[in-house]
Amino acid sequence: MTPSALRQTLRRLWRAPGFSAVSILLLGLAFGALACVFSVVYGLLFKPLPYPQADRLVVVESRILGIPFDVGLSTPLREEIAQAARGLDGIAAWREKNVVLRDETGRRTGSLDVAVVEPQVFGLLGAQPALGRLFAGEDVAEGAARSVVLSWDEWQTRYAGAGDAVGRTLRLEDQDYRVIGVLPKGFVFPNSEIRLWMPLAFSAEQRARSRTGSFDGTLALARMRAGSEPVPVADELNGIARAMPELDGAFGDSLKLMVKPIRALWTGERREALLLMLLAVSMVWLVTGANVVNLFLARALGRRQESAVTAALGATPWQRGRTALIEAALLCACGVALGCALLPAGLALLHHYDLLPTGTPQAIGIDAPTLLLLAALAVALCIVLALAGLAVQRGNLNDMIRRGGSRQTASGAAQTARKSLVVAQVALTVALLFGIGVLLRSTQNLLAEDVGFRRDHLLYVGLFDLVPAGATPELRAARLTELVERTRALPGVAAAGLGSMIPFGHSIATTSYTAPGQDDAKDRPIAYDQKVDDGYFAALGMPILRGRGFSAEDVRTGAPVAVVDEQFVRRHFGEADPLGQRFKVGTGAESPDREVTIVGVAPTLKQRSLDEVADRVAVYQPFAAPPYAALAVRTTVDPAALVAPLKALGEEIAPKDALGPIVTLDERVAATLKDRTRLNALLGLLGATALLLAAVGLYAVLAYTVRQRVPEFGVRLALGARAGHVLRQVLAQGLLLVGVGVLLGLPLSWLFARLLASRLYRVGSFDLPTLAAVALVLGTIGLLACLWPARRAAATDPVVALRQE
Amino acid sequence: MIHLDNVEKSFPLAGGRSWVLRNIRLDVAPGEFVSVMGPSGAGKSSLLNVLGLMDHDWQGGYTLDGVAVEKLNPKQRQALQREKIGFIFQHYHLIDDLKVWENLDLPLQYRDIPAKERAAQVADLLDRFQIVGKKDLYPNQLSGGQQQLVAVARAVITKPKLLLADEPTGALHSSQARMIMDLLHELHRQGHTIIQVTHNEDYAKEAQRIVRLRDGWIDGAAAEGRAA
Repeated sequence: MTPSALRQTLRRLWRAPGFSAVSILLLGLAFGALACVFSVVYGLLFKPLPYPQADRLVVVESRILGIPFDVGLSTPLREEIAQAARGLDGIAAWREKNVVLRDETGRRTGSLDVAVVEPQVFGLLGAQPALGRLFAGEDVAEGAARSVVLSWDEWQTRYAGAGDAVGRTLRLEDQDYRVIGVLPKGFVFPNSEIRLWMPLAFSAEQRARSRTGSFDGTLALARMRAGSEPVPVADELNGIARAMPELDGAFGDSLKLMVKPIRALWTGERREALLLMLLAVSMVWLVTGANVVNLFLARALGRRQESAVTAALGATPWQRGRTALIEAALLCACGVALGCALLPAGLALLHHYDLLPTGTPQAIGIDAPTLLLLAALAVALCIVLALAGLAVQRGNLNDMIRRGGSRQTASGAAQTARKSLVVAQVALTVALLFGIGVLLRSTQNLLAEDVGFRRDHLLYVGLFDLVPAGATPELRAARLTELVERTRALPGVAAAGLGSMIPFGHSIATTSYTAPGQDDAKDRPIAYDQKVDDGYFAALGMPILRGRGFSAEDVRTGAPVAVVDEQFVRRHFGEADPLGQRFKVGTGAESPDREVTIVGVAPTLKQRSLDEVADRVAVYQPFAAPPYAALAVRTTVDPAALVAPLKALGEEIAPKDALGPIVTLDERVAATLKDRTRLNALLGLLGATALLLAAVGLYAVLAYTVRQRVPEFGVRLALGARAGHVLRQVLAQGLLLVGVGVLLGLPLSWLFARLLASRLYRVGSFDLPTLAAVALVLGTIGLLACLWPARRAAATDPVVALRQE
Repeated sequence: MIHLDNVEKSFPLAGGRSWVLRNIRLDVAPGEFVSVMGPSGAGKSSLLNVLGLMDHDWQGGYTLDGVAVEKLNPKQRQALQREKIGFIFQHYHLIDDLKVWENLDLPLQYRDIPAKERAAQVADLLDRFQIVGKKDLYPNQLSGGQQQLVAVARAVITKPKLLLADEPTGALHSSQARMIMDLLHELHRQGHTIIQVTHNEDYAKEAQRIVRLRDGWIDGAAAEGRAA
């Protein structure tokens, strides 16, 4: 490439600002979107982690009773695994904790996330101290002094990197913690937000075999032995768990241990959504590529006469094609550069939609694989563009010189290529829109599910922080009682009640029970353990279908009565009357077995998610101050209006503490669909982009065709065609392309929907209403895109048109 | 057939107007064959566009077969054009993507003639012009003369009273041009009124009358006639 050729090509692009700007913008957006999603996919799923032999680091997760998140490992189970598992080199516990920060008066000023880890965690991660030492057995021994390890940044911020920071004291939660060490710069676990680590110790009571079934969210990190694989290790761990009678008896098959690469800590449930996004942006990239090739072809067609003239002047085919190649290379290079510039904004968008977690140990952004991908795609596109440019220049030179850009009968292949590109764009857009359509319909179907209670005008008030840690049961009960009574007296409150397991929360409690009439059964079934007060059913808007709810007296005395749900009745009584029947309920020392009489039947609720199948029965028992209680408040006014009064009430009752989050049940239900709605939003954005691009492509092809066919339209009009004839002809031409695209998009749509199958809810992979809607949308947009060129064609002045010959 | 009374056409220019046609007075009798000649830019094609009702931006009076054109709205003018006029162009202007018979069918389609009737008329014309064997060919598979033959056939398929031919032989070599001129004479004999624009003095003389244009004016002694 000579400098003059480059200069001339630059000048050409500069003199065609519309074409250049549109092409670069389209390519920039497409490359940017692809780079953004690819860098996140690569970063989260494949990028090497900053731990030695990170491929052997795993997290051990457990799922029980269909609860859709990791409930952690109980201490006895973890210790059993540490001793017996041959596939692991070691396993250690950790959890995150929120430490309340207070001012001198003891008033809460904020909170800080810290990681509480067993000393072995650092060893498993291969961490070495930058200063001082890390945790050892002595730090978790009974009566050990409180200690803390700092991150490098915390050391710099709090102590300005002073060498004598080790040994100093740090005050947290009214306690003094001694700094014993500093971790090296760049060390991250479990995320970069964590700047303090505390030692995790377990009491003899927590380690007792009787606590084997107590899963309290303590997580487990492990290192596999060299050569081990996650699946066989998981099988081994499940075998160990099943061999523990305490677990087998309580959970049986419903306890499942999983071994996942440590990446799962950051990837979470995003993997599928990210791969779908990658597929979607790839489709948008293809649609954009097709569009740019189309624009490029139009430009090349318009320059055929010039190319022919240069050939007549002695230019070789390479010299004639060189311009197209340089133009293509410049456009692609500018597109890639713009895409890279847009990457931070794209990453922020993905972060906003929670597809990119914060604080990962591996940096996510522009990296070598992402740049390589962009370079490879840019080169491929560049080659396609250059070949398209060259192909258009072939033909009868005399004809090209004589007819120039006005009529291109010799370029039928180029026109066919352009139309094929539009059809491909439409087909890809159909698939993308159909996928989005079925996802949206799934979400709609989910939101329309009957949850068993009235979710409107209902507030959830978290109460975890209403009493300080270590408060007496009496103080807790007093505060809860006062809160409930005063809440009921607030204007706009119809009912208020306490419950240990308000639906759509994170609190799940279960209890075993003896099925009525089967006192000596060994395998006791499991039920949701709902401990509620007398206002709970009214607050949730749950009708009592038979019998009665709980009275204030039941609650005050802790009467041995129970309300069971419909599922319970169906399972144990069939059509028989359950009222007055007795059964035993209770698990372990915290909730001893007791016999209760059924006094009422309530509806079966959706407890965790809208798509759950009612697989577990619920048993409600009266409690004045239920454990893990939250407050349900039914309002007669907009629930938002009660947030401030409730907060004020919390401040009055517990000035130094605080109520937890106050959110509407509608919000909590919507939060369970967060993953869906965010993906829907992002895919919607991409779908709209693809739709717009397809419309632009269609418009460009038709506009060009119309320009090219002006003489023909002139002849037709001279032969007696009415404007309407020409209008209909052009519209039909455009809509034919849309129609063919829609038809070709059908199998693609089906394939795309199959990929989405796990996310579909009561919608088939070939949902006809969605397909009809997509066809309608594309038809309408296609019609709009065709309308302007068609009107221009219809307005052809035959005199002017024929003069062009 | 045609009566032009003081027809004028001009474009506004900075500092005045550019005149294309000036004070055109012309009468063409039914069944007459007229040639229009003149140097480039004399206004020949503009005159043909006015006569063909493709150009509406002129002043003066124009009566076509008893109808005062200047009093018609665009829709009525188009209807009149569809009824009375057939066009023959220098570059044939066949539709490249349509076969020969489809090109002939096109004007009939635009006149909403039923398909069966159209097919009969097309078949008849293909026969008359002896191009039945070429009916399924595309224009680019024909020679220039054959293409113009098809174009003439297309111009007469609607049986127009007036045929306007804009340099019908301009793009053809002599033997093909001769064939087209013979065809025009044949059509003339059949009763068509024909106005042809031509640069060829010999072909012009074959018409009954030559109208010469210069700078938009009809030359004073322009009526050069010959025996019909």
